[in-house]
Amino acid sequence: MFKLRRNNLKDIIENEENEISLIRKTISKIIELSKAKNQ
Amino acid sequence: MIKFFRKTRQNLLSEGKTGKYFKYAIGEIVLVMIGILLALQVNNWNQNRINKQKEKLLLVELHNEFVKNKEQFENVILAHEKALKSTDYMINQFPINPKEINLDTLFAHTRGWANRHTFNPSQGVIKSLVNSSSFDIISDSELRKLLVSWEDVLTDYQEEENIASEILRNHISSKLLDKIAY
Repeated sequence: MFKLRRNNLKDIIENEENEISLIRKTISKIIELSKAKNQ
Repeated sequence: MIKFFRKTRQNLLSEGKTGKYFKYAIGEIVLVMIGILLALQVNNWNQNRINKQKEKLLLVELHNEFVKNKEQFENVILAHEKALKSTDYMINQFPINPKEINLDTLFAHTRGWANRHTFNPSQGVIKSLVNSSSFDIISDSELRKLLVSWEDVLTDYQEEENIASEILRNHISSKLLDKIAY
């Protein structure tokens, strides 16, 4: 039972990490492109 | 100028020089067309210049908004990482031996759960930009794609954040804290 919960937790953490990576990339790219264009 | 052209036209007609008149008429038409094209070109240049200025201003505002958002995001992630470390620590203490465990450390880790950090970015500039005609001013197609996808990216992230927060609140912290009496 505890093992199952732990696996669920791992999946949730992995999903959140994927979303974190995607949003971080998006923010950084917007910052980079908006800076490059307004110089 | 108009008088000069009219006089020339009248002279050519009165002298019966039809061939020359037609040549002159074609020349005048070509001249008018060149004038119209030049005026259109000048208008286009002017419009482009205005659009470039507008784009520059919008991009400065967008850049500032996202620099602040990034700062907020990194702080939120830092808090999430602390909460994750605390969760790991708590799970690894089980089965708890009250004689061996350091209660101060245990308490310090439960505090990491108390504050729910959520990412709520400022979106004034991006929303006003995406939903208006000003969006066409953005010349970089890659940036345009990113701006359009931003809402979906944020929603997906916030969904995961809510799931993680709900699990922590209802399934981990509440159950673990039930087992601990201070």
